[in-house]
Amino acid sequence: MHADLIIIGAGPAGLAAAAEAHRHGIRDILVLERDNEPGGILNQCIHNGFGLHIYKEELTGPEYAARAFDELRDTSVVVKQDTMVLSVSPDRVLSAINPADGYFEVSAGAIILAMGCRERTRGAIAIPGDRPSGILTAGAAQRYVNIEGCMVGKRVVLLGSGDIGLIMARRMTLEGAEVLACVELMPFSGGLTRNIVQCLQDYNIPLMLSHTITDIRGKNRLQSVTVSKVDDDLRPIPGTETEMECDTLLLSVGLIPENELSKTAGVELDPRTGGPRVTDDTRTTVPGIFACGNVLHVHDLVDNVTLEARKAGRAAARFLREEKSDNAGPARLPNGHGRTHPAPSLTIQTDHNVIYTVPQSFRLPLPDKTADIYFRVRSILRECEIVLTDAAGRIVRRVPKDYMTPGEMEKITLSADALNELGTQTLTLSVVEQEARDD
Amino acid sequence: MIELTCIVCPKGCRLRVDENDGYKVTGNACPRGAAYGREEALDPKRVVTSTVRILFERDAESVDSVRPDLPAPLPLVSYFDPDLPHIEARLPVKTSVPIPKAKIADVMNAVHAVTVRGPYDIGDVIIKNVAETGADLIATRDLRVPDA
Ligand SMILES: Cc1cc2nc3c(=O)[nH]c(=O)nc-3n(C[C@H](O)[C@H](O)[C@H](O)COP(=O)(O)OP(=O)(O)OC[C@H]3O[C@@H](n4cnc5c(N)ncnc54)[C@H](O)[C@@H]3O)c2cc1C
Ligand code: SF4
Repeated sequence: MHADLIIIGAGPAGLAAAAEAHRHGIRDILVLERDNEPGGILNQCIHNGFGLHIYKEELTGPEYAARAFDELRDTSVVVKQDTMVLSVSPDRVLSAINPADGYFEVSAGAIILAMGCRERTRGAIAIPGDRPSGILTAGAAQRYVNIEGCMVGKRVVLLGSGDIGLIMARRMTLEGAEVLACVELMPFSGGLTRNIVQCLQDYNIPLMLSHTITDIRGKNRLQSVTVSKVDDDLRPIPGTETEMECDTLLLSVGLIPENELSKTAGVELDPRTGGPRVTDDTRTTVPGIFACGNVLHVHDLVDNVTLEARKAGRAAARFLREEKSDNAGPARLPNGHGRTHPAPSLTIQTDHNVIYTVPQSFRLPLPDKTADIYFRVRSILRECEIVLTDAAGRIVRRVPKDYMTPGEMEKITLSADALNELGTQTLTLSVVEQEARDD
Repeated sequence: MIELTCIVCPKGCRLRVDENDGYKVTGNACPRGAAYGREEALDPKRVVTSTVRILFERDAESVDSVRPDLPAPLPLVSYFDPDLPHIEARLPVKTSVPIPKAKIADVMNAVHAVTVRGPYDIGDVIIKNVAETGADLIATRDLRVPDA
C-alpha cells in the first residue's frame, strides 16, 4: 500500500493539514487516527472558547472539531479510524493496526506528524505518600465526566493550575462536587487569566500559589492530602502543612508532546519543546517528515494549531511537487532543497528569559513573504522588549511589550526578504526588561 | 467597591468598580478594561456548557445515521450494555447565548433533569428558553448510533 501523503492523528492539527494539502493539489491523502472518531482532544473539551481567531466566533471543542472535519467534505481525503500507527521508519514506511485490516504496512511520499500531546502523570512529579485510588490527571477526569458520563469524585483538590485543571475545577463544581483548592507550586499560574476568573473565582475556589502537596493518605480510596507552602527555591517550608480531606486529587501539571513515533522515524527532538526540531515550514530533520500541533510544541490556542497545521499541509504539498519534478527532470536546481544537501539556514538562539522557539531555524530562501517565530518566556515579565540580534550583535527587530507570561505563547513576524538577506548565520532572541536596559 | 480581574487581554489588570460613583472603573490600563469592568459589575454573563443524558433505541432502523457525504462517520457511544434495551451516552450542550451568572445553577438543574432520545445534530434545540434565561440549550455535536 502507498499514499502520497499520510497524516498521523485526526485532531485539529491533522484535519487542517489534510484540508490544506488537498487545497494545494495533493489528492492521495490518508489520515490515520487511533480513536473511534476524528477531533482529537477537542471532543472532550465541551467548554467554549475555541476559534475566536480562525472562525471569529466562540465555539466549544466539539463544534470546532466539526468545523475542521467539515473542511474535508467533498475532498478525496480518507480518514481511517480505530487505526493505531505503531512505527514510522526514516524512509517513510508506516506500520499500523486496526480491527478491519489487522496489521498492515503503508509507504508514504510525505508524512505529517500530528499525534498531539499527553499529560504528565503523578510519577513524573513524585509526590511522597500512599498510592490509593482517586488520583488522576485532569484530562482523564475530563474524558470520564464529559464523554463517559461518570463523576470521578465528590471532594476534590487540584494540583497544578494548567488550563485543563482550571476547566475541570469548574466542570466538577457544576456537576455537584466540592473543589477545595487549586494548589500551584509556582508564584504564578500557567493558566489563562480568563480561566482563573471564570473557573476558580466564579465559584470561590481558592488558588494557592507557591504551595505544593507533600503527602498523600488513603488506604483504598484517597482520604487526604497535605498542602505545604514553598520557599523561593520551591522547597516545602516545614511547619506550613495543612491537611485537606478529599477523595479525589486531579493533576494538571503539564503536557508533553507525544513523540514515540517521531523517535522511531529518527526525527531529532528538541529537549526544550519535547517536540521535533523544525525549520519554519515545519520540516523535521528527516526529509519528507513534517510536524504540527501539540506534537511539535504545546499550544494554548487551537487557532494557532490550525494555522501551524496549514503551514505543514502546504510544506508537504511543496515537498511532494519538488520530489516529483526532481524525479522527472534531470535539472535539479542547486538551491539546497534537495534530499542530500542541507539547505542554508538561519538558526535561532535564545537568552535566559526565553524557554524555546519554534521553529528552531529558518531554511533559506523562505517560501512565503513573512515568517513567524513562536516562543514562550520563562517567567512573568513586565515593561520589556523582545530583541532579535544577528551574529554581529546588530538589532534585526525590536518589539516593546507591556507584559508577558509563560502561560501565553508569543509570536513575532518577520519579513522573509530581511531574513533571506541575512544569509546563513545565528540569530539571538532575547527579552530585555526595562530596568536591565536602564542599567 | 467591587474588585475584578480584567480578562480582555493577558495583562490581567486589577480593576476597582465603584458602585457608589456610577460604576466608575479604576485600575484599568486601557479603555477596554473600563467597558469590561462596568459590564462585569452590572450584569455578569456566562455561556454554560455541560452534557445531557441521551438514549438511543437499540434497533437497526435508527442506524441510517452516518453522514454519507463525509469521509467518515462521527459516532460516539460511551455506554453499550447488551442487557439494556437502549444505548446511553452523553450529548454535549451549551446555552445559545451568555446567560446571567446568577442563573447558572438553575440552568444546571434543567440540564440534569432532561433525558433526550437520539439522534441529535449540532445546533438542535434541546430546551427552549432554558430556566427562563431567554437562551436555548443546544447540542454542540452530532450524535448518532454507530453501525454496530
Ligand atoms: C483539556 C484541554 C483544554 C483546552 N482548552 C482550549 C481552549 O479553551 N481554547 C483553545 O483555543 N484551545 C484549547 N486547548 C488547546 C487545543 O485544543 C489543543 O492545542 C489542540 O486540540 C491540539 O490539537 P492536535 O491536533 O495537535 O492534538 P490532539 O487534539 O490531541 O489530536 C491528536 C490526535 O492524534 C491521535 N494519535 C496519537 N497517536 C496516534 C497513533 N500512534 N496512531 C494514530 N493516531 C494517533 C490521537 O488519538 C488524537 O486524535 C485545550 C487543550 C486541552 C488538552
Ligand atoms: S484593562 Fe486593558 S490592559 Fe488591562 S487587562 Fe484589561 S484589556 Fe488588558
